[in-house]
Amino acid sequence: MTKFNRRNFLKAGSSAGFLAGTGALGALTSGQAFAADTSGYKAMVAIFLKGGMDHADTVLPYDQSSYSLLRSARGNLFNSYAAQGNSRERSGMLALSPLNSNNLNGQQFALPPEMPGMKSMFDDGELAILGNVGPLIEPINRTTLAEKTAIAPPRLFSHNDQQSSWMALATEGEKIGWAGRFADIIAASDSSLDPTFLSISAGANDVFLSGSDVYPFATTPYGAPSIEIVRDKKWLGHNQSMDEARSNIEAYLRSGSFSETNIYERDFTNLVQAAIEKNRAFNTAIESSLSMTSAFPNSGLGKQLEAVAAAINIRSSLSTNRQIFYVTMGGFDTHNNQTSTLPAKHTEISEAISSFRTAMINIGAWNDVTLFTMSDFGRTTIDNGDGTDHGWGAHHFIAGGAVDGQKIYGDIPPADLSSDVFTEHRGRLIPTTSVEQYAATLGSWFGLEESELGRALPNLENFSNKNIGFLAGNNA
Amino acid sequence: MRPVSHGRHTMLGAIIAAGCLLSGCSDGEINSSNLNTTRSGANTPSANIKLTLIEDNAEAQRFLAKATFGPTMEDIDALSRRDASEWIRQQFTVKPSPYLPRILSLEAAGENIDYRKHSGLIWEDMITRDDQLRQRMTFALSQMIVVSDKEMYGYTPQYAYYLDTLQAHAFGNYRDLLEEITYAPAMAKYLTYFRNLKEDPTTGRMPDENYARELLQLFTIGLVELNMDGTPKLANGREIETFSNDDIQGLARVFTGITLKGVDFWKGDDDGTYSRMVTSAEWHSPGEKAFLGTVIPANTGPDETLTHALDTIFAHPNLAPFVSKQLIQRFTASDPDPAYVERVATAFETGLFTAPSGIQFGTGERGDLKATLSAILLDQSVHVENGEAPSGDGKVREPILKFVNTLRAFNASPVSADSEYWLDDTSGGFDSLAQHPMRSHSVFNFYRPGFIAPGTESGDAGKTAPEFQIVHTGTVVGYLNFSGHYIFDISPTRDQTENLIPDYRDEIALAETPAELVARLDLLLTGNTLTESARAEVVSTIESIPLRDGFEDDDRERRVQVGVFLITSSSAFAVQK
Repeated sequence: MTKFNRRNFLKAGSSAGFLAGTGALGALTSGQAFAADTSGYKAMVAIFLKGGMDHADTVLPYDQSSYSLLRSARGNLFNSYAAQGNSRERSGMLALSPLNSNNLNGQQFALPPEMPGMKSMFDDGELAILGNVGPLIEPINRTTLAEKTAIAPPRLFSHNDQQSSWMALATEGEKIGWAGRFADIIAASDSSLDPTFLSISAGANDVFLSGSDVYPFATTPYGAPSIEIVRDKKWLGHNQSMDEARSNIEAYLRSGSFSETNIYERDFTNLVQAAIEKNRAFNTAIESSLSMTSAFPNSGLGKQLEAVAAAINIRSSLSTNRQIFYVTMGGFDTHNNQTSTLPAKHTEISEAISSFRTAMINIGAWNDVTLFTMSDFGRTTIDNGDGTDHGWGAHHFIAGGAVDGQKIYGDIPPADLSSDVFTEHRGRLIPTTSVEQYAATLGSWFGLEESELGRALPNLENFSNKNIGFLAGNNA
Repeated sequence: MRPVSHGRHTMLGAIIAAGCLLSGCSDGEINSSNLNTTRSGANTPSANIKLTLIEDNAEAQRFLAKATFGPTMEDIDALSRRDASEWIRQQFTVKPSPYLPRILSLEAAGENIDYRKHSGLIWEDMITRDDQLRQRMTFALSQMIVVSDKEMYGYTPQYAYYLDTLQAHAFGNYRDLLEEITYAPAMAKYLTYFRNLKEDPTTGRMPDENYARELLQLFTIGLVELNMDGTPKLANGREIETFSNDDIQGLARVFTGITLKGVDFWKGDDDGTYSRMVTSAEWHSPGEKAFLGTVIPANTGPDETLTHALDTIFAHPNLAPFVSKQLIQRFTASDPDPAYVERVATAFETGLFTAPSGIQFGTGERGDLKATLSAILLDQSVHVENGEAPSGDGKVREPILKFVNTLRAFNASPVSADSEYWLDDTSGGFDSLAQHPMRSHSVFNFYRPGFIAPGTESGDAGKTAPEFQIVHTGTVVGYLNFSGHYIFDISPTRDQTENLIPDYRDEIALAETPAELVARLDLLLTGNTLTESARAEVVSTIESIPLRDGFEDDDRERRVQVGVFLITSSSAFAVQK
């Protein structure tokens, strides 16, 4: 195995974490020829589940032996569920019939009953599950972790650092996300492509979408906000004698003449100017397109996915063949009350994604859109009474018309906590698939070449399998 | 019916004068006899000692923008030619106004006590209270020792108790604050150690690790070992982590068996008891607790265990730089210079700070927040002397600071936040402030202290700017629209209730002389830091509003509103220097 990045990691140290400093990647696109495939239209939609979703309470073991193992490892939670009904009894769960069941060592799996939409997408071959994925620098297990013969990612179990590790392959402070790197490469590969709306957030302003050259845009289901004092005549009065003032105000806000010697003032001014220009262009595209008719649930995730759908609906007006979207959902840090809070989250996820699927089918984009989940980490297999604590590896969903679905990729180890895939204490899963392998599979579908993936994902070369295969036509 | 504060500007002025009387100073141009001697000719000490005399109105504005939620013109006048350290000393004497009694009296009056009540009081206090430094410190602490009220629905009295804990210790000692916060029911619920159970070897159950981790990572020492100047210590070029997961598992056992006073540990649900929590030896982990190099022996009692644990954490050398740097970021500098951090951390460590005026702050005990806060506000890199530019880049102001400043500057009244439904939740980014007081998304606050904004000049220069984390193409415009509704008095409740109406009388008097109007607004809102070109543009934009026959009053007011809107949209208003 090549240890290029491992050496750099040891040498550079400090907060760089996964990366050998950002210098090399900061200059990722300068002086490099890129030739990513930007033909046709493709969009990635990332859903970040903030707080660390409990993987073991989301993709559950179904065969009696694995089910019993988990149930005995976290009896408090199962007892609490049992007091509410049968949602975590085998009889109450939505059993899955994966096409690759022959490769699953006799294990069977189920989704919680709150996720019927996800179950039906799985059955239709539009949803795949990736088991035990998480931040990794190189392959590692309990023994090599304890003996320090393999490098573990820094600041495990810390929310902000593991969020950053998922989004940007380094602990908090990293400025460029892997989606931002993908966007930089796409923009550098196709000069006819306008990067203004290449990366779009309908959620938080997180590092995931930030590139060196491409910066994210933010939107809502109703488009981007415009300057009301200019647009809405009630502010200054309807009398046309106020029109000159209105245009002067707009000119003032767009002019940027109010920044000079202070670095933050210059930044602030540029942010205001960029916001006004981009919002105006985006809203013009919305106004000149047919509106979308699909309904979305009135939930946080539903509204954000509606914003994504609205942007994809006007894709032909935005002069970009590739788009990366980012949405977030919070409340997964279930240290307590897990059995009363997590099921509602499952419902929200399932309903929002199902609605998104319908909207994409309605506008003919479902085969071009791949939606996938991320989260800070998984959680401890052993409970703390009424919840679970911070873990590491976790299971995730990938959905879309291009997904080679109804399959379970990666590993979902049974809860035999003596196994090498769990940490010594409390049964934290040690990932067997890295975030970078996950990202590479998405990036390959998105059109990036292997060398480009290697540059964006610095530890990918430490893993032999660079395409997990969950996107059709990209089986390694 | 809530008491409405009229004319608070005069009250604040009066209190400054009263503080002056107490300290025995004359009520002259310079309000400290101490200061008089140091400024007089031959006795002037070495020239590099900077005084904290406020030279003029512009400097007074800039000081008050850092230390309060924004001044009125009367506040500015009252501070001009006085000493900033004297102002701070006076503010330290103003007693807090606890939330809990107010909440309980509303409840006793038959009002429905929900989150709108405490949230409304927070807005009202920020806008109207005279203990402005304590208000700012409470807001700062609420962003470091976070209990987001969005997870406290139904527990308004407990939330009020948390706010009172922050307020009561805002000028106290950080060790006391840590202890009282640890025993506060709201924190126990938010970070889930309320009824946290001891380990159970038969089921394998282990104590909840949440508080153990965030107490160390966010409230006290952080993740890596620090020098006194807040920079990371390096060993062989690498940062040194302060704790491992084993430390967390050891410390997690400390925070077990903590519950509400007067309620059975296992009572089905709590009754919202809002007092200091108590411990239960029965449910407290009896095991040995090893963390951060200390070992609490097995079978130590729960309160003794907690004291030992908090003492150990408090004694960590990271505490002073970790806490000091974040407090600086909340008051004066988004990316503080390491030397500045070290000066403040030294005040925290020694519990003492001596102002250039000779006034001494602090008790001499480590963790003294009076010493720390006065060191922050009176630092030589922040205080501008004789028109010199401050040496740092200043602080990007968060939306709440900008918004409340705008309301305060024009004495917006009456202030009844809970009848202003737009203020129920200002978290929305696209149509509101992207920030609601004490309502961050998680214990990680609205933004991270280490945030560096991608795609910016400050980001390229490696400068942190936490507040930029909530600035994007949506929130920039969202802020202008939201704040503009209050500047123009067109919020949705306008036709239902008289609320938050700005008083522009002094400005309207200048509406026919736009240059004078803009000069006043520039002083009042930015401390005269608008650029020449920006001032000229604001003047010409105001001039383009005609004074129509028969509508002169409306049009004069319109000119003022547009002037306020444009200046509060400016980078000079957004960045405090």
